[in-house]
Amino acid sequence: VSSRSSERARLRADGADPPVLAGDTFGTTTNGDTMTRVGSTERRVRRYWIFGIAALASVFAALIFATAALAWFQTQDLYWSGGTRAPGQGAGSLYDHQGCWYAYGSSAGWQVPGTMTVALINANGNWVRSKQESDGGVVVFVDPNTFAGATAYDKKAHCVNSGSTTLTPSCARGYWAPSPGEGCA
Amino acid sequence: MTMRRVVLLTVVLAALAAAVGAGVASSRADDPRAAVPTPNRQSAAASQTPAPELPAHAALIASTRQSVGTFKTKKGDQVELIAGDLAPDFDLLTTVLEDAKVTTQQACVLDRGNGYAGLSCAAKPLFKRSLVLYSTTAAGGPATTEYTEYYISGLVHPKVARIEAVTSAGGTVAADLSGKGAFFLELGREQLAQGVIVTNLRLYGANGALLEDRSLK
Repeated sequence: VSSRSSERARLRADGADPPVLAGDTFGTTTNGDTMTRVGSTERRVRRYWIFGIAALASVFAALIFATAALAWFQTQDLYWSGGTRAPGQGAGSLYDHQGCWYAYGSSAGWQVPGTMTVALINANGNWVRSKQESDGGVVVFVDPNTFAGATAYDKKAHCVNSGSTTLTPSCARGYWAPSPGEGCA
Repeated sequence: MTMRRVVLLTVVLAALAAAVGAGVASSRADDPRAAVPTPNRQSAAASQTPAPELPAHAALIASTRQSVGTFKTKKGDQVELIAGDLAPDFDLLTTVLEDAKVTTQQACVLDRGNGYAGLSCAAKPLFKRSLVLYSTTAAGGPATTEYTEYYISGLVHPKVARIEAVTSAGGTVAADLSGKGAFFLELGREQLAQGVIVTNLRLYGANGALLEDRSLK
């Protein structure tokens, strides 16, 4: 209070108008609210708060963006294409690679007539699920078709000509991969 | 500083942070070291759009999709069969069909049960080549004696009234047939232990006449 008084006295001595210092009230708004002068210290403190809040919001936004960039998505690749398969011949994709890709499905397409079998094979070489068809297109995939379902065990996609004629099939693996550019987790 | 300025400043900084983040993500995408190493990037590169989890029935066009039957396996699991046209954005199948130069539209049967779904498709119009669209589903293998589950399911033409499976042991197994043309048949544990499989499907009309004898090879 004393410093406020001395500051007021100093300003009066300078011949200035009656000063309005921080904390002084100097009128009312049309709504009847009291107007109070905000002092430099209070302004600084408030500014710190503003920048603090803004910085936190920025970090939050950046975190949200980073999280979105790390999302996994479904895609597929052809692991057998353009070559002939004699009856009994098969082809397989790579096995799941932890943190890099996880297969969720296995598919094959071919010109009829012919019979193909697609399978999901676990790390022990056991055929966990397979499906055979003779009309040109067949798929087997985990259901519910979720990331958790695909990561439940290590597996690969496989296809085999299970008919009696030579075919030129295309076989694909459906898999989860990190978002483009994220590489392996 | 007014609250409006606070909000404005926050929005500007947040946008700046997002833009910086986008730049980082974009530069990572261009970094070949960061690319997912796959044996064949051909189709993966063509579908770099992040996709959400796809429910199994999304494999079929919604307006054509209809449940045609639900059956119970010997283990007590339910298998639901859903018929419909192949959805153009079900890339797992459309990619291989395109690569195999199969250009005709596809009619499919989706079967769901016990943690897996399967899709079997044929060129439209359905039943032009055969009166049955079938698929064989197995758990276990690859040797037939290793099968722990083996069933055949699918869809038949409306004029088929009865379906019989002929096994490699020379026996026959009758299929369950729904009112909407879906069918299901399963081999028992004893047959599986002996490596028995189905070799043919025989389709009979309402008058008992054999309409088609389809080899599964």
